[in-house]
Amino acid sequence: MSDETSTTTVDRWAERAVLPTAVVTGALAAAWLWFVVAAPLDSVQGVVQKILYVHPPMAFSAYAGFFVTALGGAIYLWRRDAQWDRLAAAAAEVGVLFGALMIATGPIWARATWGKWWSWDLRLTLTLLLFLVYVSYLLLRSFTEGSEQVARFSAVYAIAGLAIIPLNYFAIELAGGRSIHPENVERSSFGEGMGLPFLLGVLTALAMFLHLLAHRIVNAGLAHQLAEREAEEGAAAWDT
Amino acid sequence: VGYVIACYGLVLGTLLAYSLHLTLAQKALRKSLSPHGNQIPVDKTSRSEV
Repeated sequence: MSDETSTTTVDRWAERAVLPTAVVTGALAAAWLWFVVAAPLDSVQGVVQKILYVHPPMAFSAYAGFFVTALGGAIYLWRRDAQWDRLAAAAAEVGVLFGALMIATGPIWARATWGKWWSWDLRLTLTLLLFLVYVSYLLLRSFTEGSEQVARFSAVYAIAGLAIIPLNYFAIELAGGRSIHPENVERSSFGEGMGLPFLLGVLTALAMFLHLLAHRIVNAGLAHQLAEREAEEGAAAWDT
Repeated sequence: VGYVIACYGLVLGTLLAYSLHLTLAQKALRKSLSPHGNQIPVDKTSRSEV
């Protein structure tokens, strides 16, 4: 791993981003909730349709988290600089959180609409697989923290896991009409007054993702500095 | 309505709880680092005053 100063470029970027992203997230969330409440009721699903304004945005933020994990891993493989590995690990944690919320909110909508919590439909199964791939990534790292070999393996694993995202996104087309999951959301999917709360939901979730990611990176950087300092103090005590 | 409230409550509650967890963890980390030196730029005003 390359030598690092106590505060790296990624840490500094994250430190600067925490507060602005929090402010933007708060403002967007307030507008989002306002428009969700004000949005007209769907003529078929009724009030349950309002879950649409929260479930897909969780999915998009989870995708963003897994993409940043793979991107951080790729830059780490290229530059061999530990700050990118920390970025990847932070993005995986935040991505898994959004993934868990995506997987939790989906069945609530399904129970209200289909009458059952879960179906082994291609889209749902691939979503669960994608989530478990990145949960495994975090488990792998938690058991074997710190070595360069683990960072390299994690990076390759994160990049390979990314292949599930396009498969998952196009699962409904791939299932050829056998999928019971609703089709991907498009502009024409919305009735009047429904597009804006959905758009605000996506923007709020992405802003929240950036805020939590920045926060998590700052914490990882501080933990890294603390570990370095303890190692230095340990070495100094050993010398005396 | 219960399903909708459950969804929004779960999402907002979880994200706020995680954000709070990160804030508290950051406070603890800065506290652990602070007695050893001034490498962590926590408060630029007080540093310039010194």
